[in-house]
Amino acid sequence: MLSHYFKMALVVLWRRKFMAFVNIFGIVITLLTLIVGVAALNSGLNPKKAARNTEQYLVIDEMCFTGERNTRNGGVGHQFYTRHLQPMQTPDKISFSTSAHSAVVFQQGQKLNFAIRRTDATYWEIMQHQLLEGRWYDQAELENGQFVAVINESLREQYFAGESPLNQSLRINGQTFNVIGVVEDEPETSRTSFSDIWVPLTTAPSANYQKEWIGDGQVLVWIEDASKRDLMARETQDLASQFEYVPDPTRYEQALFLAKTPLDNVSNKFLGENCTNLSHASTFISVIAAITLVFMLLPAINMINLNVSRILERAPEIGLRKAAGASNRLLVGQFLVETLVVTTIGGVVAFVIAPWVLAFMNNTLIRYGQLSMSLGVFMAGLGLILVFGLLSGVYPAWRMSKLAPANALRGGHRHA
Amino acid sequence: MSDNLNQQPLITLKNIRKMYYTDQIETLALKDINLEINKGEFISIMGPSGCGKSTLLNMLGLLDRPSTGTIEFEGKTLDKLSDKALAPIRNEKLGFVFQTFHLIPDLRVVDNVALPLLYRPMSNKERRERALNALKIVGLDARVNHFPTQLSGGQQQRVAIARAIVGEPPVILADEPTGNLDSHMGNEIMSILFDLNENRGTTIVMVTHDREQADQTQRTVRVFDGQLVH
Ligand SMILES: Nc1ncnc2c1ncn2[C@@H]1O[C@H](COP(=O)(O)OP(=O)(O)OP(=O)(O)O)[C@@H](O)[C@H]1O
Ligand SMILES: [Mg+2]
Repeated sequence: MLSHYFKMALVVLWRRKFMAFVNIFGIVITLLTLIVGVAALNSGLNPKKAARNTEQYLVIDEMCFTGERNTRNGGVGHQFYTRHLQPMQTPDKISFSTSAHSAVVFQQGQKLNFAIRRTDATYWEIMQHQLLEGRWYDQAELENGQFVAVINESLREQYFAGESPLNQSLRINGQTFNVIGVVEDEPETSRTSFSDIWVPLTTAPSANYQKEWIGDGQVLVWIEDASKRDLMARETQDLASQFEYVPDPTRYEQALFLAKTPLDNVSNKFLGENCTNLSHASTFISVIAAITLVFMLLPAINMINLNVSRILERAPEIGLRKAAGASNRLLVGQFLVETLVVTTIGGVVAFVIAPWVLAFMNNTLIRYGQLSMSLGVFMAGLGLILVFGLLSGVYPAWRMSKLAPANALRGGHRHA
Repeated sequence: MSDNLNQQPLITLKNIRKMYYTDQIETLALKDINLEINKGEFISIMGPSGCGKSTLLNMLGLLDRPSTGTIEFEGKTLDKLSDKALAPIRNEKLGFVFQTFHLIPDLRVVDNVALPLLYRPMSNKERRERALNALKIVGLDARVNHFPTQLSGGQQQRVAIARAIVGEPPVILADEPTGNLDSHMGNEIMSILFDLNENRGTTIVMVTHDREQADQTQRTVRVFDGQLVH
């Protein structure tokens, strides 16, 4: 019986190739959407490389000054950092760095575009970039404004043709730096750790940044004892109330910001909730779940539609099998096997294609991307598709099997 | 009829009514039908087109439920039986030849014929052997691996007949089984049915428009406008 069902399923697929193709295509797209979506989310929330430790490491990269009539928001300014953040008691380490800017590097008359980030020395202690050769710059070099640079492996590859760049010079935006270290590539999606070139903050062409209250900076906080994060939250609240905007104290009375975990960071950014000291992680997760659901639902609805019409078309077959003595259970079993076969084929195709899609995204769409497939998500997606398949392929067949054979033979239109 | 008086009828229809509802119209296809089919009988049903012959055959073949009235099969009242209980009766006791054949387009001829055997416990090999044998009886053993769409109307009809006889059911219900066949092939089919009836005691109910065929059967039931006429 099972072998007949199996054969029947393949025969039906083969004889209705277009239908089968659309159906399998829908399954593959659904699965790929899910896999890529979750991989992106996962790499955003759990960066594997430099920014990996999510328990002890917090980020402040967006803040908001509010007054009675004014609000202003942006990244952390260096002046605000030195006055208010740096003196905080709870952090074991605290660092200021700029976001990644675009930098022009000339090589044999050719203009290359890279990302540059200016940081303090603590940055390297909090981030955990993998050092491939050389070293990072230290506090003394920072204080002396030394023109030293750390570069990533891709830049070494492209600019120094794979040779050791140590003690070689690199001209960036009109300044000449001495390369002292090479680190592993960091994915572009990891906002705190990504760059091609890192140089000391003090090499900035002008000292204007030191006057900024709101700028493009990010502050990294390291708390050795993760349980002290509550303390940290309280301290930032106190800080908000003691805040004084020196240039014009009446203009802004409050500084709102949140020392965020990577999850909070992604969540609040996604929801546009920057002027807050609240975490919106749970909202974010529900919104993402809803979006994922919608994205999965589109191909799923298509599949359900297709399945239902496929079953309706086969009403005479159901009627005939009933007349020949098939019980409802056996009929449902037949359509169950068909659904399983289609889902399995779709699953296998998606499983084979997914690594290629992720590789494409890693190599082409996201610089130094590190999206990877989660087997658990794949299985969950397959399970979900199976549920849709059962709802759309087996449920109508079951309903139809309840009809009198004569009705089903006529095409399944109901008669009293 | 007289010699069957103390024998239990095989199928009994009591006060059967069948209403069809379409968007606007209600059709009373069968009106207060009372009919007994006895074991071993060969009955023909005649009547003008649209008078309810196929509907009546559906009732006898347990393919549809009457709007009112009861059907008894081998003395058991069926109207309270679940589909689960009806399935083995349809499978083992009844063979049906549909007016419009109803072959499964996705299956080859041999698999179409073997269909009733699929729902019985037996090996695939035996199913195939029996199906080939039934095809030989209807003279189609050269078309075993064709698909239904690759056959002529008459050939499809013979496949449908082979499917009805393959399980050797004690009752065969045939809706114009020779309607699409030439007189030679029609006679061939009739002789198969007569053979089953005489040598195996198969009860046969056959709808026909052919008076000659009807005259050869033991009893003719006439239907007019949903009612039996005597
Ligand atoms: N599914 C249906 N829905 C509505 N009306 C129906 C349906 N099936 C049959 N009828 C109507 O019931 C009546 C009897 O139909 P039936 O098919 O039993 O006639 P018949 O005697 O077999 O005719 P024919 O000799 O042409 O096959 C007809 O008037 C027909 O229009
Ligand atoms: Mg008819």
